[in-house]
This record gives sequence, C-alpha cells and structure tokens, in this order.
Amino acid sequence: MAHLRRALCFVFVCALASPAAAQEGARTFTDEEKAEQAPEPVEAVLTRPPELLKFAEATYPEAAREAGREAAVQLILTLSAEGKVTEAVLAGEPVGDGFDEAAIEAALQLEWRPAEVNGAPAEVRVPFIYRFAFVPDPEEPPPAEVKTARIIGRVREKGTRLPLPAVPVSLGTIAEVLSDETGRFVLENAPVGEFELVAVSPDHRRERLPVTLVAGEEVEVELLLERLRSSPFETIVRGDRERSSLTRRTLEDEELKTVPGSFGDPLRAVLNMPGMARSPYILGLVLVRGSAPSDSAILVDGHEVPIIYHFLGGPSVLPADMLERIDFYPGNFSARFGRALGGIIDVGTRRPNPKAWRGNAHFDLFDAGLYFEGPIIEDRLAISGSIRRSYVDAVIQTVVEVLADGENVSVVLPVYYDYQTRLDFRPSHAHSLSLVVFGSDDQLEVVGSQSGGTDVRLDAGIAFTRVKLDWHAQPAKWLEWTLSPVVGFDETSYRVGTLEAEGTLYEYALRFDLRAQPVENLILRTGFDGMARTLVAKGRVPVLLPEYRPHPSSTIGDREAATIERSLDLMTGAFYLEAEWRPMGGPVTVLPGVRTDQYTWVDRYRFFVDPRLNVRWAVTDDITLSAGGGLFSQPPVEWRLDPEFGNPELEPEWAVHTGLGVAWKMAEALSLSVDGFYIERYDLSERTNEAEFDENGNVADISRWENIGRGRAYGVEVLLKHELTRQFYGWISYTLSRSEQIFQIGDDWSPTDFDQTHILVLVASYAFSDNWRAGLRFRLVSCNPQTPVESPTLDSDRGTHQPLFGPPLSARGPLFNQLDIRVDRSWTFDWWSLGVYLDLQNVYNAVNPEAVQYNYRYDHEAPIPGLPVLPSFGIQGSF
Amino acid sequence: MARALPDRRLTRRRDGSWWRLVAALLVALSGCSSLETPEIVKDFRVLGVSLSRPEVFVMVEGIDPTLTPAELQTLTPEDLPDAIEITRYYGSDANPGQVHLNILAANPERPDTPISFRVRACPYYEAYRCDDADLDDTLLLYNFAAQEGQNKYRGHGTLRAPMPPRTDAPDDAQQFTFELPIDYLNKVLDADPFHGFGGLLVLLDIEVRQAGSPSIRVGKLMTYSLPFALANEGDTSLIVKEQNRNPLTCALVIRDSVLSPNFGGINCAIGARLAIETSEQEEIEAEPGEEVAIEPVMNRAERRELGDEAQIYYADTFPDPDRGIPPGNKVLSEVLDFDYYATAGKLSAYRLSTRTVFSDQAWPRIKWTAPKQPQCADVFLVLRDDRGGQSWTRRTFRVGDVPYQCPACVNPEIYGCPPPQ
Repeated sequence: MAHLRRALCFVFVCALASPAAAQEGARTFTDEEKAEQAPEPVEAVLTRPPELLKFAEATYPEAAREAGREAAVQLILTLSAEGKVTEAVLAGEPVGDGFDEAAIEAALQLEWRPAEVNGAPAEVRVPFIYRFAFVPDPEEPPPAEVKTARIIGRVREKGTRLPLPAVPVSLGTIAEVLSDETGRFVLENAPVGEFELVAVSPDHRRERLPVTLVAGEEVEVELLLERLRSSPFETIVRGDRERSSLTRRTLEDEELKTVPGSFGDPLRAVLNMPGMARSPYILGLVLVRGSAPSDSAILVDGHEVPIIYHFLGGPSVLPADMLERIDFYPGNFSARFGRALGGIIDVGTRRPNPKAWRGNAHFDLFDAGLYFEGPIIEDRLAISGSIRRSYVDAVIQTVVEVLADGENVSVVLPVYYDYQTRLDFRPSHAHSLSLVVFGSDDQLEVVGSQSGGTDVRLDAGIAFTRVKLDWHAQPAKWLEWTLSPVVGFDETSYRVGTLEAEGTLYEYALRFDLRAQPVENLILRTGFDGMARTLVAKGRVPVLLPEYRPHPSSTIGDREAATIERSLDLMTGAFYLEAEWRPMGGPVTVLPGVRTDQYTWVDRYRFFVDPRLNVRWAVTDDITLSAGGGLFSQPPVEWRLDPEFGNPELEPEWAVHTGLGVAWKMAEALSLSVDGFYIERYDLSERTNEAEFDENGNVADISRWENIGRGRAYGVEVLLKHELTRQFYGWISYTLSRSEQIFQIGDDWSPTDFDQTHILVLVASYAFSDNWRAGLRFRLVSCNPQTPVESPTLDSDRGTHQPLFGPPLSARGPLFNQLDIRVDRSWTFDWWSLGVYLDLQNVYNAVNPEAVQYNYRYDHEAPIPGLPVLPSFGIQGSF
Repeated sequence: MARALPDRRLTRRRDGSWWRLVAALLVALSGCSSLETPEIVKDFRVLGVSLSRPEVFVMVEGIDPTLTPAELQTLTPEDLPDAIEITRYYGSDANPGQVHLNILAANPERPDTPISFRVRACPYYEAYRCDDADLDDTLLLYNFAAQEGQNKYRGHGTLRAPMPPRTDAPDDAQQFTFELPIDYLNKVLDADPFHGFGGLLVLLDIEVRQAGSPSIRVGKLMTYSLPFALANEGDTSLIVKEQNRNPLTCALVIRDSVLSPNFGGINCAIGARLAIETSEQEEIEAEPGEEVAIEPVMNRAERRELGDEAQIYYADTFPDPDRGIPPGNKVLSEVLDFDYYATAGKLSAYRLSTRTVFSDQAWPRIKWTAPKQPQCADVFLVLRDDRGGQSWTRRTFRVGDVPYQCPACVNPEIYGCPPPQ
C-alpha cells in the first residue's frame, strides 16, 4: 500500500489583508495592530491571490497510517510579501494523532507566489487545509499507454454565481489546479477515462462532478460550490479600522442581519451594544449613555441625516444591502466628528460590485424591496440601487377591519418608502469617484375618534433627499484624501386639527479629510467639516404669547392661530486635526485631537475649541488599557432659535467626556471589555420658570428658552463577546449607569427620561448544518423613570382633572424582560438562492409596561403595555 | 428683569417625552384602555361648578367711580393711572361684587348622603390648588366644619349652601354667596406676575366631601377685571367690555323634535333663566336599551351655527416693542364645550365642542342608550365657555317599569319624593 499525502489549500480575500503591512515588508503585527494601522478610507483590494508554487509533503503519522485514519487539519498561514510562510497556526480544533504537528511542519515549507493588494505584494493571512488522505496502493499498474484530454472549467458560487478564486480543483488523485481570480482553471494532459472532478473550499461544500474524458477532446465544465452557511439575509458589513476614539463598537457580517429582535435590520442590531439604552417599543431611538435622542448624531458616510428609522419603529432608511460598515461610538469620539454631545453612529454605504451583477428582492410583513448592483464597465464603473416601499398600512387596515367586525376603530397608518443609488467610477488605482443619491419619505395619518366621539386628525410627514459626491485620492502610499460635498433638503409637515406647519430645510455640507503617514509610527489626520442650513417654515400655529393673556381654561384654538413664515440660516464649520502616535514604536499609542467649531445663526457667532485626548497601552498582546477625555459641543435645536417661539440668544450646548477602559482578548474568538465613563453636560437649553419684564414693568416674555440645564451621566459598560466564527456568535452586554439632569436653576438632580440603571442584553446565534440558523436575544432592563401623580384636582372650568405631580421622574416600573428568537433557513439553487426567516419578539409575552396611564380623574392607574408577541416573517430571493 | 414664576410642580424633560405622548395616543386610539371613561357617573363626582358672575368688574384709583359705561368710553388710554390700585367693584346692580357659587355633585351609590364642602381663595398660579400659595394669600371663605349638619342637600342636583345661612329669601337660600374684600384683591394684584394685565385671576379651591367617599378637590377661577379694554393703535378711546356671563341653553330636544316636557316653547330669549329649572323636574320614560337622541337648543331656539350663544369679547394684548406690537386688544369669540354625563346606560359622546383645533366641528347631538334593566337614570349636560362661564341641565329618565317616581330617588329634599326603600 502506498500513502498519498495531499494538501488542499484554500485562499480567499481576507479582511486581514493589510496594505500597511505590505509596505513594511516582514514586520509582523498583531491582529489588532494590523487593524489599527489600516487607513480607514483606503479599500484594500486583493488584486492577485497568493498561488501555491511548491508543495511540501507532510509525514503521514505512522500510527494513523497503520490505523488507516484520515484527517483534515485547518490552518491559518501568514504569508509574507515574499511568499514565505512565516507562521502556521491551527485554525480549528486539533485533530490529534500527530496530524496537527505534521501539517504545521509541512505548511512552513510551502512556497507561494505572493499575494498582491492594490497591485503591490502584501502580507496576507490565508486559511489552509492540509488533508491527509489514506489511499490504498494500486494493485495493478497503470496502463502503459495514456492518452490525454483537456478540461476547461470555472468555479463559481452556487446561487450568487460569483467566481471563486484560488479554489483547488483535483481530478481524482491524478492532477490538481487552482482556479484563477475569475474562477477559471485549465487541466492539461488529463488522462482519459471516467473520473471525478473535486473542488474544495473551506467555506463551501465539496463539489464532485463526474467527467468522462476522451482522448484528444476538450471538456468544458462548471463547478458550482454551495456555501456552507448560505443566507440571503447576510450582508457584507465590516467595521472600519479607525481607532482614534476611546470606544468603538462594531458588528460584522451576519451579526448585523441575524440578531433576533432586530427584524434583520443592521441599524437595529447596533442598539444591543453597551452604552445604548433600551428604546421604548421598537421606536429605535438612539439613546446613548443617558443622553437625549437629539444629542446623538446619525451619519451616513460622515454626513448627518434627519432620521435613520422610519416612523413608529419602522426599519432603517438605509437597507442592509447598501451598507459597508456601521460604527457606533458611545462617547469620546474622534475629532473628525462633532455637533453631538451623545454618541455617533456612522454608517458607510457600500461600493457596488465591480465584477458581477447581483440583486435580490425581499418581502416581509411590513414592506417589500428590490436591490441590484453590478458593473457597467468591469472594474471601472459600477452601479447599485435599491428601493423599498411599505404596505403595512394596508395590512393593518385589513386586520383591524376584520377584527373590528363593523365597529368604528381608529387606525394609525404609517406609509414609507426609501430609495438609494450609488455610482462608482475608478479611473485609476489612485483615484475613485462615487455619487450617492438617497432619501426617504414617511407619512403618518391618524384618523379616529376620541372616547368622547370627537373626531381627531393628526398627520405628520418627513422626507429627505441627499446627493453626495466623494472623490477619494491616494497620490502616494503615505498620503490620501477625500473630498465630499453634499446637497440635500428635508421636508416636514404636521397637522393637528386645523393647526398645521410645514418646513423645508436646505442643507449644504462639505467634508474634506486628509490622512498622512509620514513615518511608520505616526498618522496625521486633518480636515474640514462644514454645513450650512436654511430653514424655511410656514404654518398656522398658535401665537398666544406674549400677545395677550388668555383665560387659563382657554384651549389653543384656531381663532388664536396665525399664519407665520420663518426663515433661519445656520452655518457651522469645523477644522480638526488629530494624530495617532506610537512613541518609539512601543506599546503606547497616543491619540491627541482638536476640533474648532464655528456656529453662526441669526447674526450671532460662536466659536468653540474642543480638545480631545485618548491613550491606549497594549500591556500585553491580549490586554489593552485605554483612557481619554475631551470637550464636545453642539448647536441648539434650530426651532429653539426662533425669535418668537425660541431664543436666538441661545448658546451652544457642550459636554466633557471622560473614560477609562480595558480590553482583554481572552481567546481567539472571545474578548472582554470593560469601559467606565463620566460625562458632564453644560448649558443645555431648557424653558425657564421666569417671566421677563421690561423697564416699565410690563411682561416682555415668559418661560423662554435659556441655557440653564445641566446633565451628567456615569457608569460602567461590560461586553463579553464571542466573535463571529464558522457557526456561532454572541455577546453579553451589561451597562450599569446613572443619567441625571438639572432642568431649572435651583433644582436638584433628577433622572433623565431614559435613565436605565441596569441594561443586560444577551445575544446568541448558532448556524446548524443544512443552512439553518437559530438565535435568541434576552434583555433585562430597568424601567424608564416616571413622574408619579400624587393627587388630582378637578379643573371645573375645563371639566377635566389636573394631576398634581410628585417629584419629577422619581418612580419606576418593574424590570423590562423580553426574549426574542429568530430562525433562518435558506436554499441555494444553481442561479439563485432563497431565504426565509421568522423573527419572534417577546416569545413568552411578558407584560412590560412602557408607561403608566391614568383614568380621567387620576385616581386609578394602569400600565401602558409594551409590545406583545410580535412575529415577523420575511422572504428574500437573491441572485 | 426676571422674576421666578411659582413652582408649577410640572415635570420638565429634555425632549424625551414625546414618545409617551405617542404611546398614550396609540393606546387611546386603539381603544385598548381598560380604565373607566368620564361620561358614566358611578360614584361620588363633582360635574360642575358655576358662579353667578364668572367675571367681576372692578374700578381702579384715578378714575371717577360714578362713570357710566357710556362715559367710560370717552376715556383715552392716557386717562389711565400709572399705578393701578383697585378701589371698588363696578357694576349696575346693588352688589356688583357678590357672587353665588353652585356645585353640581352626583353619587348614584349614596344619593341620600349629605355633602359638605370647604372653599378657599388664593391668587392663581397655574396650579389648581391653594396648597402652594402663601398662607397669607389664602382666604378661607367657607369651611365644612362650620356647616356640618346644615347642608342637607344630597345626591344629585345643585348643591347650594348659604353662607351665612339665610331664611328670608328661599330662592337664594341654597346658594353659597361670597364677596372678596377689595384689600384682598389688591394683595392678589401685587402677587400677579402680569400686574393684572388681561384680568386678575383668583382661584377658588373647593374641597367637597361625602361620607364614605374620597373627598374631591375642585378648582374654579374667578376673573376680576376692568370694564374696558385698551384700544388698538390709532384709537383714542377705550373699549367698554361686556361682562362675561354663563352660557345658556334653552332646552334639550329629546328623540328628535320632541322637546322635553313642560318646557314653555322654543322662543328662549337671551338672558332667560335656564330652561332646566323648569324642565328638569320632569321625568322622561324610556324603554330598556332604547337609543334616545339628545340635542341642546341654544338661545332663541334656532338652530344656528355653534357659537351663536358664545359672547364676543375684547382681550387686552401685551405690547411687544421688539416686534412693533403696541398695546391693544383682540376681538375673540368664546368657544363652547358640551359635556354629557349619565348615571346609567351608554353615551355616544362625552365632549362635543366648537373647538376646531384638534377636532372637526360637530353639532352637540348625542345618543344615550338606556340601560337594559329597569331603573332611573340621569343625563347631565354641562355647558362651558372657555373663560369660566358654566351652566348645566339634567334630564331624568324612567327606564322600564320602575315602581316609584324617579326624581324622588335621587333628591328628596328638592323634589319632595318619598325616601328610598
């Protein structure tokens, strides 16, 4: 008997490919270091996969040979820019019997043609399977005369039809070849006869294709490999590598689309991270470290958008297919970001596939959408587009009508749609242009009857459009910049009874970001972040004060309303400079930054300088300590600057963020981070309890907006995370925090609306064989504080009861607890794939009071329940 | 100059409360609330408080106290004193400062249990209680302790308590009458952050008690104001105002076009006494489960646009030099609310209103569905304007075969019916 020792290797584009490392030759970085070194705007494109030039045969372990055992040892190889294997480590569980040692020993002897990233040889890490196959000796010698044939083939992924490069294709035990970057391969001089073509990829099922070879003939074949875990609901979303903030939370790949309870929406998945308070119902409020929703900024490619979720807890306005990355900074963020006191969610749109056309269509209970992407000119000009429209209004209407059985029932009807398109042009490796147009439209119409029988009408609408152009250039390896102008407008409208208001906000924004790495241990970054807004509003609104003093029982009526028109200009501009410096190339990284914000409105000018400093110390390869602090400022909400309804004298609000953290990489896929924070917020705009009098003693104004509020938040965030591996991901997130505010001068500290002392989130998801995935999310969260009602008084003039409130926000309901589950199943066909999911929220139907409602005379209370069991079912077909 | 307004004990939050409004709106609209609704009276309730004069005129120092309304109109803004001090009440009758207070209380569970009450007055600071006012500013007008045993008026109906008890005028004997001292009004004026501009508001903090039930706190505002309004820019004279009066209904139309019994016709005149005083003593028969249409007849008994009965009035406006707004006046029209209550059965509506801000205008016609079991039931209509004026009427229904006269069951003192079994 003879033993054939064969190795099957698999090379694919890996996120660990590092241009920086490539430039630095043989220098070895840890994973984290590599991640940090990578320039965020530069897209690392694997222009040539590594190619195995010289195979090294391993020694078959004797005991295993005698026992007739076979094995496949999964390895991760680090290939230098010269094509040498500098490191070989086990990627999976040891298989034992001496196979692991033999495979590592042999793998270190392999010789490769180096991979190229962006056209230059680069260090990469590749998965590699060294397969030990036990083959009996041929009892009969091969035929003396061998005639040959030729096989031409292509390896592609089943369902998506994407070419699979560097996939080894073997003809029995006779010949083997790797597919090229287009998935094509050629087997010359193949023996005639009946054989089996075998293609193996670590992420795909082994594909076997019987072929019959006839001497002198050419056979053309196509091998379609099915992904081991195929799901049309997966998306390719990767966190960027920017690390100039103290804390950044990043979710990747299918984590973002398969988190239970998120309805497959990546931007909802982020809400499960530490530092993020629970939003009531599924409203999707961004509640970062106790701050108000308006204190946090939602950015798309660095530019603000007015809303990120559709009305009433709808999905995010950007579909998952359009996303490249989502980064969440709960505080202490980079000087590149500003105009926010809370946190930052920075969403990046995805570059369309420049090589192949792809697309999908999805339907669920709420909406339906289409997505496509592909090359117009391969590798140079590509386009993507998406559109989505809700029909939840029709669903609700139908269900309610059936359930109501003829009764007159009020219905809330949200209607939304959104659209996105992106055109990418890459004239050269050094330059790229992208044009992104996106927007959404939300309308909400409430028609119904109050308990008294009076008709109620409440309409609201918001729509926005943004047109963004990005010009990215990298004239030298150490220098790159991005210029990004944006124009857009927002339209809002409200109608309550006969009162109505509508406004249009025109926005012009410009970002310029320059990144340079003059020396190895120093990265400099500078730029401009400016925005001009013009708000034009008109409406029929109440203008009671200060014109006359109505009787207190008088309700605002249309007789007191007036048609007003407003125009407000607001300009902000910021210059920033920050550095990432590693003194002496040591374990300490210093990240100083400064941002200067200028605010101009109503002929007033404000200037803020926000210095920031973060420091990281890699104590060991696995443990990193970090600390930081800085100033942050934001302008007041626009309408509060109105001369009549607000106060144009308002100053910007500002905050001091401080933080301390430790990150411990406990194992290959397991990490633990603990972050403490303390935040003070100053000059928050609040309504005063004071009346203003002129020199004659006349009332000039009452209850005006002033910068009299203060806030503070402090706490600890813990994240134990199992990174996404072949089958499992999950995390346990716990936040212990306190968020307080002073609303009026002389007031004591009281909790803020979303002060949640304990926030525990557990997420786990497991991929089974046969394309099943199941996951769960469990949450245990303190109830939001509420203001108790101590006793009522009948207001005889209005005929209604007035509550007498107790101390503000001094009461709490029971702990919120909820379990959500999600099950995914997919099927892959030759040309397309089909996926379905069931997302079930609040599995055991916990009654989680979101607030308290009182009866008309405030002597009995009842909880306003949270969501009951809420199923969502979706289906998506992709090609 | 800034001066702190009194603590309103209201919560202030940083733009985070809107979602609660959304949640409450959704719950209300979805009809998911299991809490009781206000239109059905099941236990001890106060449904209304009316004043014989919801607005009282006062005169200030520096103006001839003997001027008639016509003579007042010859004054110009320059004739007004710089410093205002109230010197007397102003009006055409002998006691222009005297006010009668009526309380409409109901309790189907204990219709024969006596009711007592306490009335305090204090400057109005947005809170509908005098608890937060300085003790020096609070005036005790009437204390239930002094009146225990004398208030024999029970159950449904208008609670009228004399103070001091009077026996010489039976028609008025059931009213609580008071008159605030001028010195007290000046004290209230001193505390008013608006310096009396637009009217001086005094809160009547009323606590109503009935044995066996939780006490009820009620707030009622009195307005004391000058009998004229500032003229608009360019006008040289003041505008004489009309004193606010309680809104009036003449009658209720029951079951479409059939007027309630014993009502004297449809030619109500402005200022006529409430039709309810003659008609509410009659009972109306109804079948169990019957839907009965109820519709108020406004003054002059003509179906006019809502608001015909509302007064036109002038409201002083603040000057705003920054916006070039001089002191002046606004011409406004009262808004009327029609609140219906029932002690049994079901009402198709609770509040109908001429307000058009949050709702569409609707004629205040309702349907009352009689209970399915034989019993007596009362339906109340409380009519409110939006500046303190208020009146009410009641209809008593005999539903099915009831072996006694219905009004007797609920108010033996007034209607002389036999006591309940």
